[in-house]
Amino acid sequence: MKLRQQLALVSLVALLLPWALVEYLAVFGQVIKDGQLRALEATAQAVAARLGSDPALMPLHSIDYEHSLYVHPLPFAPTLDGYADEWRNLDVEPRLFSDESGFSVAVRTGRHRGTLSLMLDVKSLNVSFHRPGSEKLASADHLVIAIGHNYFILRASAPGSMQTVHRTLSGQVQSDYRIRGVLQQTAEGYSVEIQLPISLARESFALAVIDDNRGQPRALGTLGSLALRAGGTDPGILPATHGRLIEPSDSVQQALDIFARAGHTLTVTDAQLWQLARSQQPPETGAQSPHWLWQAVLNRIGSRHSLPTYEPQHTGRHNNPITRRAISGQSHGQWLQSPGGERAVVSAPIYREQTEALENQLAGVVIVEQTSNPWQHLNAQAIKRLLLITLASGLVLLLVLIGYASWLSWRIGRLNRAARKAQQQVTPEALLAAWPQSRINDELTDLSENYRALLQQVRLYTDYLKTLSSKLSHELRTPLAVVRSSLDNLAGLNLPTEAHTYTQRARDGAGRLSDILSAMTEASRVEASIVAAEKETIHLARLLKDICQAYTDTYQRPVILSADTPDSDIWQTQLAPELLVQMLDKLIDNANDFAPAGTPIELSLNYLADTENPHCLISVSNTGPALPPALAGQLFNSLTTGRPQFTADSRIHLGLGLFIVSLIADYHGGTARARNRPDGTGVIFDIDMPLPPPAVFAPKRV
Amino acid sequence: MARKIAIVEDEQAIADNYRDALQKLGYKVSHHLDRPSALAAFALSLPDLAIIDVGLGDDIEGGFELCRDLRSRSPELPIVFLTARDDEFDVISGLRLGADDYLTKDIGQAQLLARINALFRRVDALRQPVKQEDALERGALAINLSRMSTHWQGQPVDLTVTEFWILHALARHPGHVKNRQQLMDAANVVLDDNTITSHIKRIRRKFNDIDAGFDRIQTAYGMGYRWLDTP
Repeated sequence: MKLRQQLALVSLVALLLPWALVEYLAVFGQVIKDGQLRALEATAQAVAARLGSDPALMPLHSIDYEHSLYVHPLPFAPTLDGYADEWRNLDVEPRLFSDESGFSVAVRTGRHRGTLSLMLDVKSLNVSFHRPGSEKLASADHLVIAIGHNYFILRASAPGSMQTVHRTLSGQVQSDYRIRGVLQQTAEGYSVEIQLPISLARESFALAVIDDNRGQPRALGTLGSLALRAGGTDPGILPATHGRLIEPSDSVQQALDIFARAGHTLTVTDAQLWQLARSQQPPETGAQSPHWLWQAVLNRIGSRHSLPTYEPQHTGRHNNPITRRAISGQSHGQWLQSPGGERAVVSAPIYREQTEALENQLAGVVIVEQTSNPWQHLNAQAIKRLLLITLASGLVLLLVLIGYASWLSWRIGRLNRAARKAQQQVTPEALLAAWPQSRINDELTDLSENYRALLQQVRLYTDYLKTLSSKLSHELRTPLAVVRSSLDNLAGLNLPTEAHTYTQRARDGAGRLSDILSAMTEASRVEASIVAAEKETIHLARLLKDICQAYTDTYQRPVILSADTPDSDIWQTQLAPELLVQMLDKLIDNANDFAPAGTPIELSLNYLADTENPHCLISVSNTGPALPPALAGQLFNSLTTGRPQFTADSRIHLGLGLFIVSLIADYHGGTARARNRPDGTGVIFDIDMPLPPPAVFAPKRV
Repeated sequence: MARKIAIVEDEQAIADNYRDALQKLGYKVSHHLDRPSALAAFALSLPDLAIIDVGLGDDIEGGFELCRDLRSRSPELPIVFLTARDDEFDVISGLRLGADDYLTKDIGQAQLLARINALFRRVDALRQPVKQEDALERGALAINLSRMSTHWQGQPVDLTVTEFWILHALARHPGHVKNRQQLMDAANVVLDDNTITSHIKRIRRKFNDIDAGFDRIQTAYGMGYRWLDTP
C-alpha cells in the first residue's frame, strides 16, 4: 500500500467525531425519555390518587378473570340473526375459551343502550340438536346463561331461533322470552347470537356453552363447574353464580376526562385489568413535522436500542407486563415500539381509600400512554445545528488530514523520484539544480538536504575519479619517458646478448604501460574532441553501410546491417561522423569481445517518426552472455566494467568504452541503453538519437 | 661543424638521455633546466634546433613563452615541443606559436631522431636550389619532399612535420585508402586514433584557409582516409 493510501486510511479516524456525536445524542435522548417517563408516572399517580379518593368511583368486586365477561360499548345494536357479519365491523375482540380437544368458543359481548348482545362462535366437531321429549332441559349442545339463582338454558332443535327455558324455584320448567337467541350452523360448528335486556344482567351474569360430545358433555365459559348440571334433570336449587359483566363506568370516565391532555391516552382498569374508562386525545398538530430525512436521522439515533413492541389491547383487558407490575403494587413505565413512533406506557395502581379499614385496597390501575418522538420537545433546530457543525468539522478534519497526508507523501515521492533519477545518472549539475528544496524546516527537508549533500559528495568524488586518470597519466608519462629513453640509449650500447632479452622485456613493459596511460586519458580526449566537434550533413545509412564493411574485415566476422529504406533521403542528417564512428567502434568492439567466434554482429538502423521530430534507433546486437544484473543502470558510467581488468589478450578494460558511447550519444541529443535480447540469447545496445534535418548551408564535404 | 641542439627540459634524466643519444649522432647539445637560463643562453647564440618542454618546473606555460620568444628571434629555427601534455588545447596552442612539431613523451627516440633529421634536411634544402626529383604534384597540390613544403593552388600551406608526412603518405597514392596505422607509420609517430583524426582535421583546416572548397581528403569511415585527385 502506498504511503498516501495508508495516510488516507489513518485519517478516516476523523469519522469518529460524528459517531461520538451520535452516541452523545443517543445518551441525551435516553435522559429525555427517562424524564418523560417520570412525568407520565406523576400524571398516572395523580389520576390514581384522584380516583382512589372517591369510593363511589371504583368498584370493589373481587371477581376473578374466569368469571367475568367484558361488555364493549357498541355504536348500534346488531340484528339478531345468528350471523357475525355486523360484528366484524365493530372494534370488539372476541374472548376465547378452548379446551385441548379442539372445542372452542369465541365470545363477543357488547351493549347498545339497554340491549346486551352476545355473539358466540363455537367450533365443535359434532353439532347436535335438542330432542323434544327428553327428560333433560337440554339433551344436546346448548347454552347456559346464569343470572343469580336462575339458570337459563338456550337450546335449539334446528338452526334458527332458540328456545330459552329455566326451572323455577319449585322445579317447574318455564320459557323465558327476554333472552332471545338465534343459532346458525357454520363450517366448523355453529354460531349463536343472543340479545337480552342489560337490566336483567346488571347484578350477575355468567355464560357457558355445553358440547354434548356424544353423551360426555363438556363446557366452556364463565359459569364454571355448575354449567353441566344446569341442563340436566332437575338438579334442585343451584347456588347463585359468581359471574359478572364488567362494563365501562361513566362516572370513572367523567373523572378521567378531567385529566385528559393532548397526546395522552389515559386508561383506568379495575383490579382484574378490565378497562373501565379511556380518555384519548389526539396530539397537537401545531408543530410542523420536520423534514423526512432529518426525522429519519433522529429516529435512527433514538431507536438504536431495540425496544419491546407495543401491543394494542382490544379485548378490554389490559393484561401486559406493565400493568401486571402495577397490580402488584408498583408504578412502572416503559418505552415501547409502536407503529406511530415510540410509545411511553406508564401504569400506576389505584388504592381505594378505606376509612374503616387499616389498609387501602387495590382497586385498579391507571395507564397513561403517550406516543412521542423524544426529540420533539427539544429545539430540533439546535440539534440540527449541532449535528451539522460536528459533521462539517469532521469533514474538515478529514480533508485536512488527507491533504496533509497527500502533501507529505508528495514530498516523499518527489524525493524518491529525485533519488531514482540520481541512480539513472542524469547530469549531476542538472540533478542538483532540480533537487527538491523546501523552506519548511522539518525532518523531510533535512533528509532532502542530506541526500543532496551526499550526492554532492558523490559528484565530487566522481569528478575526482574522472580527472584522476588523466592527472595520473600525465604524472606517469614523464617517468615513463625516462624509462623509455633510457632503454633507447641502452640499445645503442654494446650490450651482451642476454641483456637484449631484458631490455626487450623492459621495453614491452614500458609499451604496455604507455597503452594503459593512453586508455586512461581516452575519455577525457573524447570529451575534448566533443567540444571541438563539428556536425556535418551526411547520409547515415550509407555511413553505416561503409563501416559495416570495414568492421567485417577488421573483426573477421560478419557484421550485418539492416536499415529501413537504406537509400532514402530521410537519412540525410547532421551529426559528427567521426564521433559517431568512434561510438560504433566502441559498441562493435564490445560486441566482438562478448560474441562467440564466428557469430555475426547485427547492426540495425530504424527510423522512428512517432514524435514531432524524427529520430532513429541504432542497435548493435550480439549473441553472448546476458548483462550482469549488478551493473544494471550504471553500465554506461565511467570506470564501470563487467570484465576483469585484463582479458586474455592483455588489452586493458577500464570501463571507459561504454562511457564514451554515452558521451557521444549525449552530444547528439540521444540516449544509450543496454538490454538483454528478449529470448535471452544475447545483448542489444540501443542508441536513440534525433535526426536533425540537413542544414540549409551544409558544407559540401562528404 | 656540428649542429647545435638546445634541450629545454626540467626533467634532468630525460634531458640527459636525449643529450646522450643526440651527442652520439654527432650533435652538440646544450641543456637548460628553466626558461631564464635558456633565454640567457639563446641571447648569446641561437641553437640550430630547439626541443622544448611545455611545463618547466613551476613555470607551467614556460615552454610556450620560450617558443614565442625564439620564433620572434628566428623565423627559420626548427622548434619541436616534447611534452607530457597531450591536451588538444595544448597542441593547438603550441602549433599556433610556430612550432614545427608537437610531440608527446611517448615518442620513441628513433622517431624523435627521424624528425630532427628531417628538420635539418629541410634547413639544408632551403639553402639549395629546388630539385625536381623531390617534387610531387597532384593537380593543384605541390609537395617538395626535402624542403617539406606544401603548396595548394600556388599558395604555401604551413604544415608541421607530422602533418606533412601524413599528407605525403595520402597524396603519394591518390585514391588509396590509408588506414590510421599506415598514417602513423608514415608520420613516424605512435598516436591513437583520435590524434590522427585531429591531425587530419588540422590539415583540412589549413587547406580550407586557402581554399574554402577544399575537399580532397576524404574519410573512408571505419577504414581511414584517402586523397582524391579530382573533387
